[in-house]
Amino acid sequence: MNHSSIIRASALEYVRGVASGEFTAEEFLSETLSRIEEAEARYNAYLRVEDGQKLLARAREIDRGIRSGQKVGLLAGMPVSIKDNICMRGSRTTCGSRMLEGFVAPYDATAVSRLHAEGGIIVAKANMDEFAMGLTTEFSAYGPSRNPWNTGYVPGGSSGGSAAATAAFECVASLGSDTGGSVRNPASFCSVVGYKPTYGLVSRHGLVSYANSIEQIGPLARTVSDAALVLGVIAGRDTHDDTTADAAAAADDYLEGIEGGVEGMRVGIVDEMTGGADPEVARAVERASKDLEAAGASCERTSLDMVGYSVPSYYTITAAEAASNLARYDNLRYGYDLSVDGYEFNSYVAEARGRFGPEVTRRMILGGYVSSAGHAGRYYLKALKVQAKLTREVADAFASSYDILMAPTVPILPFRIGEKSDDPVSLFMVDLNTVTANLTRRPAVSVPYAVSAEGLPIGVQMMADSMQDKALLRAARALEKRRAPLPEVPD
Amino acid sequence: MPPRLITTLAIPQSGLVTEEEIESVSKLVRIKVADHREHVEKVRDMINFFEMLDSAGVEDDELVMDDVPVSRLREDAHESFGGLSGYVRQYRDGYVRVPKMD
Repeated sequence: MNHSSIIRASALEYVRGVASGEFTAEEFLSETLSRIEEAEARYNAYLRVEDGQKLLARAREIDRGIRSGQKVGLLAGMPVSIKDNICMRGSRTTCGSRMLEGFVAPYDATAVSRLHAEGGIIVAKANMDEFAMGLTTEFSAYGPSRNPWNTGYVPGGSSGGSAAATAAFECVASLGSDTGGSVRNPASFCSVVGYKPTYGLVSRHGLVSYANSIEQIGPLARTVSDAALVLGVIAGRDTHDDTTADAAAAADDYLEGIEGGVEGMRVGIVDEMTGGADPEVARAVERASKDLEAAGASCERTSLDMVGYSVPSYYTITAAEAASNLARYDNLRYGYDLSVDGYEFNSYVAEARGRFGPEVTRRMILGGYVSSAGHAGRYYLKALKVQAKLTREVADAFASSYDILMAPTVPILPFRIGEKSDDPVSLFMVDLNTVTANLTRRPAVSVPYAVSAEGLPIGVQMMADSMQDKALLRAARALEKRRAPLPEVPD
Repeated sequence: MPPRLITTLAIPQSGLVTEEEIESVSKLVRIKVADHREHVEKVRDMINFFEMLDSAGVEDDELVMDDVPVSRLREDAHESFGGLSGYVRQYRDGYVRVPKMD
């Protein structure tokens, strides 16, 4: 592997390459930084790149450790990026918002501490829809990211910067956050793997809250095994997040058994998620089911009635939680420079929040509306009941019939920048297939599967029962092995 | 019930949300909006969309709550993150400055 191509290495190839001396962590990082410098003008995947000299000094330290036989961690200097709603001590964390323009995080998120502890080098903070509210990255206050497969198209969102950066070799892997599909949707649009863990598998400490009850940090990577490697690093019980699962429930190593195949697995293809899909997308899922059958799984169509109501339930619940979470932005504890002189409290807070972009403003209004005394019964409480009923349906499906539920990750092909940004309800429907995993707190993954006639990526989503993350990764790996070869991302 | 396909989702059009309601809610959540008309149509579309929940048939369902035993929660003890006052924007002479309360 020569130096101009080393940045195309998967995470596992990186770990092997740096351990064997094929290349050094410094060489790999240096190539990655050059790639970022060259690619960013086209993709705008990153909001900030960390200080290159400091990063290279850390890489040299890891190289010295490798040469002297010290433990350098599983990631051994691997360049990774994180979404800009994940705190890293001393680094600006804006959530893609002007509201947090100058905010420097005072502590590391647990996921960041774990990446550092295993030798990961965080090279950049990735672009995102403002406060993760969006699914195209067009709602970033710092301009949209662009899809490396076609720069006229959205990369998906809200972790669109993470997906674009991973696809464009600006990092080996990235962390995103997934509230309703925000890891899987951009992974599908950019032809990378996006993994949403079981709720509680990964600590949310240091993830800026949007909708606490359903969101998770998850990895984006170029292969299923790479996602499993990163998941193993960031997963686990954390006393700073009491929703994390007991240590006994989580695995230590998500790569273990990943090549075990799908012999005997039962796969349900969800009608409500497939029936109205773009024909090319629907055909891809059909072919994926045949691939799995050829590998020994049994596939059949199934129905989940409540999926039809999942999107309004999801948006009602997230709007209510978002309005509550965003109430902390009073600009007194953190925010931007706006003097309190001459203001009464309420008018000051309202003035400060004028920095929120239009989508965040609408979600706050929506959240206030659906949870208000006069409307909560009609919207919020009903949305919670739909969530409970959907959860029962999905639990029954896994208990009685299936190991995996499968569907397109997104029912339509990637679309042009600006094409849907003025039509919120049409954008909502892009989430149709992904929100069920969040509402029911199940793990789900998007596996790159095909490329359309127009050259746009198509991802297949697989979902498993709670804490069956290892089985899910095994099924995803089997599909990845069986699929037809994918073209290289254009450069 | 037949599959509810993306192309056939029926979105109610009750149009109940008024500009005045949006103005009132934005005041309640303390957010400055220069021109409420800018948001009326989109918020109305979203609320109309949420009204699909009316046909979900869940009126008689119970809410499901997760019980978390206190023993599972971390100890309620102070934990210092160190020097956080340096991050407060409105800080002078050891005091956090806030706007006047009416």
